[in-house]
Amino acid sequence: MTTNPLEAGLGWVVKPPKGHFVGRSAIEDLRARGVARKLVGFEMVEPSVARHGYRLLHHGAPSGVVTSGSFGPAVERYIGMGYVPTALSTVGSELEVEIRGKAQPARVVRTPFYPSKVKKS
Amino acid sequence: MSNVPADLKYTREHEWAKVEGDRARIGITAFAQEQLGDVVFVELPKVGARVTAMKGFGVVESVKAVSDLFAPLSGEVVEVNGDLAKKPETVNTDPYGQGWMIVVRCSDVKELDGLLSAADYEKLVATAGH
Repeated sequence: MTTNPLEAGLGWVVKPPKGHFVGRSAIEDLRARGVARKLVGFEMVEPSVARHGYRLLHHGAPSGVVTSGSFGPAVERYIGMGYVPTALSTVGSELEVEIRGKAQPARVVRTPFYPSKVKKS
Repeated sequence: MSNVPADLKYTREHEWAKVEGDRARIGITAFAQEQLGDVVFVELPKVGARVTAMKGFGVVESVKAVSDLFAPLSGEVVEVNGDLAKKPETVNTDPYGQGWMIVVRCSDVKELDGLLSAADYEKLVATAGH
């Protein structure tokens, strides 16, 4: 499956005011239609480690895939990122990660996981 | 060089077993924890579960990867180190002590003969090291 920039949260890279670029009309179509899935950050409710390629579930039904996951020492939580259907991409959405056959609860959280201390000018 | 206590038995998969009568305390070696990096999660069987020699009995997750744990000996799990759930990093800081994982009541002591001595394990590590 290919990933488009809007799903990946990279819409700011492909804004129409940039002028002509390859794929611009396709992106504009997508923007109008809305995307089917989105990249989100999540944290595990119980200690457990999500890994690249693990399935994401919602009440047991397949609902996307983990793109990366680990323990985040700076936030002291088990965190990960993955693609979920747009309806489940809001902060607080409940998911499960299928880890070695077991559905482990997770919830969508705001990213970045660790707030930047750099002031935006 | 890795620390390899002489009084323990070892597997080729980098677990150690400390025989205490008919029981064996089991963990992973200093070399194993070095290779894994920071351990962030350990999944262990429950007391009463049966483990089989050289079959997986649990999982250790580090920041880098997930690895299976292999049982050096067959038998029934009689103790589990519950502290590792809260402090998995103990496996890094004290792999042969507080970082132990399970105690098994051995069903076949002859399996001990299939394990590596400290000297043999040290040789294995010397060739496996990068």
